[in-house]
Amino acid sequence: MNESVLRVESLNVAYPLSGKRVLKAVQNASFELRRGETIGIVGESGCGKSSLVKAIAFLPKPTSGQVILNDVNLSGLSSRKLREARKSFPIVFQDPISSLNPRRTVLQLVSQPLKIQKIGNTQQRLQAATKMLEKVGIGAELHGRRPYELSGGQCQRVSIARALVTEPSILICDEPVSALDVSVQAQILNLLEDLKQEFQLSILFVSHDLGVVKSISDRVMVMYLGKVVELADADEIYGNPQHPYTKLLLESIPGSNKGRVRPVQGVGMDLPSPLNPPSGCAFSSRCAFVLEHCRVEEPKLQEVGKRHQVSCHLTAKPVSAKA
Amino acid sequence: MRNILEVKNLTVHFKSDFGVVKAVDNVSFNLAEGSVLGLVGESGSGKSVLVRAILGLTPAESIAKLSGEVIFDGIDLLRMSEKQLNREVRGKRISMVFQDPMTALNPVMTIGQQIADSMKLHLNINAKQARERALDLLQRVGIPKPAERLDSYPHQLSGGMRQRVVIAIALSCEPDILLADEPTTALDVTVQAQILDLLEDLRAERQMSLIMVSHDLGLVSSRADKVAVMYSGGLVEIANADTIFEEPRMPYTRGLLDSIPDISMPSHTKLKTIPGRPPQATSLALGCKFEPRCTRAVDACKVSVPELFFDQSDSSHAWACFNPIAVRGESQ
Repeated sequence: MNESVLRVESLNVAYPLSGKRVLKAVQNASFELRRGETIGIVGESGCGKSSLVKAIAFLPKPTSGQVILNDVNLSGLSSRKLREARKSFPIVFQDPISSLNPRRTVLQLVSQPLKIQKIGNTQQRLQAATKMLEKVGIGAELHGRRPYELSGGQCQRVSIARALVTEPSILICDEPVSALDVSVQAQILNLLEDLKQEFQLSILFVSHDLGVVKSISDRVMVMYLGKVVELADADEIYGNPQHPYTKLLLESIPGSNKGRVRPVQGVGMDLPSPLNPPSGCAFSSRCAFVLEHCRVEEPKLQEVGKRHQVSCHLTAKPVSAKA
Repeated sequence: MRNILEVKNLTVHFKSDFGVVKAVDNVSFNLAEGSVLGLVGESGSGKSVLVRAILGLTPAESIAKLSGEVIFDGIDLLRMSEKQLNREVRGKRISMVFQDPMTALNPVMTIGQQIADSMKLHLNINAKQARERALDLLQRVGIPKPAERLDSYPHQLSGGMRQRVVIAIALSCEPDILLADEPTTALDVTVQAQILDLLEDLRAERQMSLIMVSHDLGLVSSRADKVAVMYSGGLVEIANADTIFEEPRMPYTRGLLDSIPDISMPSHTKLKTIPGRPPQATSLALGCKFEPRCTRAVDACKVSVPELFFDQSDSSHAWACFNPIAVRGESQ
């Protein structure tokens, strides 16, 4: 589990807008994903979590920074080599139905990545696809169906089979269960856990649902306005959150299964515009513990404990639970 | 406490190319004055159709069957004419907050105009008074710089701000009942907490009653007094929020609770799941709709639909199940 599969170094994603303005969607993200590890990425909409994982998959390629997958630096690859490398890092998208080609059958959808990668002959591809579909719980009776004839949960199973058929080393999931009902969501989460064990998969799992992320992740990364603000083991970050933003997120969860926490009253306002972020620490405009210093200097991501990184000026001193 | 709304045997069936869709089938419940009822269920369970039917907002041309009673203040809303509903009920005494704050507002009218609209219609006040009240409402729902916002258009506001505007419009005529259909589903978790706090404060302040529809059982149980669970068009369990959490009797409610990832458990805790998926709404099955997925099903479940059974010691708790989960101190 210590072997690194994916290394992301100083990754930046910037989207050019009209009038020379630039939206910095991801700023200076660096982390490592180990073999067999799941990193959950959480944050509010617009925090850059989807931009980050898409940039890792070169969809589109990041503005700057390095993505090193299995010791190969993706930034240096020609577009032909990049296409070959794509089999190692497929994505499962949020909307299970629209992310599949409506005119293809289930079996075609799952064998297609092998065809694009020129792996095996037709017979072998169909065999591999059938085997993978069986693993995700899609029986032969559904092989001839098209996406609109399937339920959301079934489509998401097909998307997962399609992603795994090329035997990738990492799987990128961008809100894979957000569109599903809770009873189906639990089935898909269990499936991902089983497949992860079986194939020694490493997973990047983006979600806005903190309960889902806790359940599936080994480590959790919290993002705010394009920056990584906290990164730690799942049980550590939920049990001992350090960044005030992580605390705010956790306190906002409406009654978890047993906890029934009541959110704190009158917390800060909406997310500031990423086009015009506050000076200093990006969270300073909403932070209940803000210091003068926070509005001037931007905090850096620092180690505060075992495998626990936080970017906050306050973590030098212990932060109390309530102001 | 007096019941402000009584729904009796409400049935809403739609016509479709695949047969009759039983969106809501024989649902009964009461809403106590000043209380919050949470209505939960998965997509397609009929919860949104149910609250829309209360205000007569179901599309008349596609209705195959609409029956039952919705008694509000002694009057059956289902028997009221469209004109009467518009003049006396909708937006005035019962108002609604829809799920999507992006589309619920008119994009070419200013916020101020939209809030003033229903007040001018229902409260018999002039434009100037309406604008003053609109300003006051915006302040009340926590919108910063309300005076400037009155002349803003919806696209100039964030999702959370728009949902606040939608709530301001719904509250403008001081309704007796607010129907909130997934009011925070489109919003981030921190904004969701703010909106729910706001609804809670306003409800307490105005002695308003609230029906809150949500697919999120956790959210509902932390905010509602009573919770009703729907499955495939039917009401399968109703109880006080604590009871639903701690001693659900209907196997579906238990399954739904168990499939929510529990934040207090260590990561990688295996989730319990409900096998299969909800039935097609056009299903012609005779028995309990949950029977094919249920681990406790008995012979009776296949042939007839269970009625609501009321708990003998707690009349606020009822479930539709022939083989309910036993609770402590009860032999099976």
